[in-house]
Amino acid sequence: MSDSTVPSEYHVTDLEIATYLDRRLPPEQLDRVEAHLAECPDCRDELLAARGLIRRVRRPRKLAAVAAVAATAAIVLLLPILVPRDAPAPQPQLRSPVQPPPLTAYGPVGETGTRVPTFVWAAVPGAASYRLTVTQEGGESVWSANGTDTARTLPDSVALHSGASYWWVADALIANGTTRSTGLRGFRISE
Amino acid sequence: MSGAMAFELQHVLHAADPAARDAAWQDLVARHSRLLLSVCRAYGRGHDETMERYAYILEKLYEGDCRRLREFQPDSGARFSTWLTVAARRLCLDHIRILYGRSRATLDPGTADRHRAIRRRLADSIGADVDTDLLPDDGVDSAEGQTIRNERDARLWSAVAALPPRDRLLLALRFDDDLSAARIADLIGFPTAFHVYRRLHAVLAGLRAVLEGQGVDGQSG
Repeated sequence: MSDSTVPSEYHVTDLEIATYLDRRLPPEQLDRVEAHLAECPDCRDELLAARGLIRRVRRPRKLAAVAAVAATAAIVLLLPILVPRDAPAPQPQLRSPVQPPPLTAYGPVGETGTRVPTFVWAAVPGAASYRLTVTQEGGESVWSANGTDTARTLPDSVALHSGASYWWVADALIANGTTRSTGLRGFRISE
Repeated sequence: MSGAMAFELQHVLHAADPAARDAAWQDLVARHSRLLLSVCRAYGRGHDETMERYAYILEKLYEGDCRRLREFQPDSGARFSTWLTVAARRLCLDHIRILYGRSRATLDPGTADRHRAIRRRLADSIGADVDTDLLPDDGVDSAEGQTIRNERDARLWSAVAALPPRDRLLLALRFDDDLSAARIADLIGFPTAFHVYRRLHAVLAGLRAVLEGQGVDGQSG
């Protein structure tokens, strides 16, 4: 605590906060961390928030099943970056080991006159969430979104260009851990 | 960190081949998805954004050859789950800042005023037991009264600065952050709120003795 509200350059790290909260900091490091905490309201905020979260996280919950679904979702969502870099270039499409029937895509497909298209696909029974990915023709990501809706409109912050072609793909994450995909759908913005 | 956890993390960080690492990563994610989701849910805004944050956290933990995961040091003594909670919280804040920008200035004028008011409380609490009735009334802002308060404050801050770090932190949590004794006990590891009160009482008494030793008391300011 100090008359000054300006903390020193050093701030406590995530590891120091964790070790402090677990009461495992060695004495000399404990003095340094507590001296900084006494001076730095921002780091005290970090400590307080972390303590609150840890209490919350360790509280028993009845929704373990939701976590299991989310874990599956995470694995599916991260499949593109889990593919080794020297592997053939991946398509921006999420796959499950067993090929399920495709997810029906409604649009846009082909030429479209709007630069803020709405992407629409069919609902899948048992779907926990959907992920929409929009890419440029060369595969560079333009926008992606997760959610439970089967229609998403491109936000204003994302600009599509007249005359350019794009791909989109929607993937449904099913509660049993499988996925269904529309596959890549191409569309082009009119000149 | 448990041995099992160390083993699991080591598998991710030192896997012999990409397939082994992917398997270890998926195991790690499955084991900690409840923790990560709890952190994500703490920031509200509904299911969609919770899942967005969740995916963002996993992406950041994985990217750069698991650079962030490597920041955890098993020999630090911290539990992996504690560290992961802290790290996930920071990533959530990063994600929110990316989407919505920084929500507040570090110290806006209102906060500075509040801090001044709280420090005033500490100064007053030291003087209160000495003889508050003899202190100049804050409402009567005489030059003499202000000078006395400034001198007393300067000596007080000097005495506070000489305290051990833990006592300074205790004062900051009590008087800057206005936390209850129970929360302080939980946060910095006192056994009970009673121990916090007892330590606070001792620290304030010590400060008061220092000030009185310097000729600062209720009558002189």
